[in-house]
Amino acid sequence: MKRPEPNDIDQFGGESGDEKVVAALRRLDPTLTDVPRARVLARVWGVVNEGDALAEQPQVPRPSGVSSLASRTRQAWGWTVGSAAAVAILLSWPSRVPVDRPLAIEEPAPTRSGATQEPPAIDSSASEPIALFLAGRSATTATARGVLASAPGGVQRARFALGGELALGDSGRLEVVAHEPKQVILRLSQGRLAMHYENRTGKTLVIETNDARVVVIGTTFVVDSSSGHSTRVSVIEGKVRVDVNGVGARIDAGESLVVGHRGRKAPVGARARESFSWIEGAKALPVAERPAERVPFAKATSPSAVPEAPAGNPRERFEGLYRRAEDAMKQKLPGEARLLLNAALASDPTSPEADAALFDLVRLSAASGDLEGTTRDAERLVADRPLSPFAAPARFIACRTSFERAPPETARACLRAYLRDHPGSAHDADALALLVVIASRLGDCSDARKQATLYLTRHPSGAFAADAARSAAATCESL
Amino acid sequence: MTGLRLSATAPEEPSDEELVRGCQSGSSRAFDALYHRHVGRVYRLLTRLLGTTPERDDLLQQIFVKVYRGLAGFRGDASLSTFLYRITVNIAWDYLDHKRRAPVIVETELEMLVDDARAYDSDRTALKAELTLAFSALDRLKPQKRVAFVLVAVEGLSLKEAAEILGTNDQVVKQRVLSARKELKATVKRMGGHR
Repeated sequence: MKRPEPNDIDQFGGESGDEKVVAALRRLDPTLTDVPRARVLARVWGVVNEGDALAEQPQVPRPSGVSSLASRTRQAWGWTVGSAAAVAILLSWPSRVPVDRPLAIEEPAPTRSGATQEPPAIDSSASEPIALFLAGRSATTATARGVLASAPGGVQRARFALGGELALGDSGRLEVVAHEPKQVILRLSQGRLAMHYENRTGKTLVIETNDARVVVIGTTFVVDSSSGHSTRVSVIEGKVRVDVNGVGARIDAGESLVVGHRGRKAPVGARARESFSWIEGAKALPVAERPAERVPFAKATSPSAVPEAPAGNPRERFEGLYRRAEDAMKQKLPGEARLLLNAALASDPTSPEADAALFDLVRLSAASGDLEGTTRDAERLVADRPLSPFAAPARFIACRTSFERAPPETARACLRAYLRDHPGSAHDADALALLVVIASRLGDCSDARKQATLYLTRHPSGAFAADAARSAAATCESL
Repeated sequence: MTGLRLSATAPEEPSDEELVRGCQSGSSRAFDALYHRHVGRVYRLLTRLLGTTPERDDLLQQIFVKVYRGLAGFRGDASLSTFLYRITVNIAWDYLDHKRRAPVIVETELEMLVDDARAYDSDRTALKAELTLAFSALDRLKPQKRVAFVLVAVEGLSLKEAAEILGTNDQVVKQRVLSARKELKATVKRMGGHR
């Protein structure tokens, strides 16, 4: 696209009264700042990915993103139709499913590429002592060899480090099978486990028993695997998914299901309610320390500092808190905005807007001159959402803060890596300009020339073009 | 910071053609780079075409979704700029066609545009008044005339280039532009903005 220049219409246009209109429009130079620029790109990817999935085209990995309102509406319809279909299958299940299936409700959910989703592989070598995940155990029976056990007639209560509380009874035995970036797998080999899982870290919680696999979507549930009985799963709040031999069933709040009973659901019984009451005792226990360096969102926040979350499911809570954070930012209340953003991320770390919230944290840290916080928040964003369109702007902000507050060598390393990892980014010129300045400050003639040449080659009409050449020349002359 | 490593040389900037090829082979990174390279100019054109409508971000999203999908069949017969222009104009035209209700100047958007024009305080008021006048006058034009006028008179495209983008011939574009100028002249005079 060209800059305005005379064209053949001017030769025959004659006298016109539109000069003011043309002049005003030519003065327009609207800029898209980082946030709307990245948001639009995220929405583009959201729509494109959705379209790709609908068309069942071969997929390359795409960054997750925020969908447009239109696509959200489509998603809502999709869920509605999908849920209706699931209900219909549920209602007609006894006549549709082979008798030898102990549990059959719905087929495993198809992935975007159209393939059925396999249960994640379990890396048993990743297992860890369960004590790492617990705090404030109440009962006398200690953990042994990484297993939490409750004595006959006793109940073990504990805070769960990844969010929530648990209570183990009926001679229960619970251990950690795997702790992976996306999920934590616990094995309940026997006994009853009542648990309230808050999912603060975005990790899926899976409870395995001898005959079932319970994928916890949220939030309060009881898994009863007492000896001599099939596993019974009861959900008090939220929902869970139970997989048996690759066949899954979703259980919603107020429902319970016994594995091996042909998938028939029943209301939550008294036994489950009793188990649920165990958790109440666990809530009084001290807050757990999270496993060190394993949980990206493991920010300890004092309970009094956590903003009250709006009611609703995690996604709605996230959106409510995020909107409040945006209001706080508009009102120039960075401390409150930060708290709300962290609370939003804790409420639903998998939200499509989580990367935008993280990016806002980066901006807030940078605005307050907090180099450590900026770097930490940017790392958090890059580590958790490497393909997010906010990743590059966040990294640049971290580098710019580093330029302002860290030794020049540190800033130089940051900027070079930024340019390497994000070629042609929106901040390409800015990063090169900063590199020229750093080289000049360090008296590095060779690098100053090199960066200035790069700048002039790639951004000949850039705002720093004149200074780039001058700065490099001055650096070399002074040697 | 994760992934931050020292690099001896800075990367060379890929050309538009390389980015298009990257997009066609499924590289999300290539599309991101292409987006960042052109989004500013597309946004400017969209603003000049539509004025202060706050829906520009949504339209920008639509444009780049179309760009993404269109790149698969992009053979390079026209330049990437023409390709982007065409999609932007189509989306803007569609918007103008379907949104021909009472045109409004959105004050907050106007303030931002004035900020972006880097107007000094002394001529902020003047620029604001000029933009209000310009968009009010443009709002009275039919979309086909408005689009042709912006492409030729403001963006500086030749009649032939504009005709290629609009899918018509240069004589038609010429007539639209001349007609737009005539109407704008009358409108501006009526509004008291013409001395």
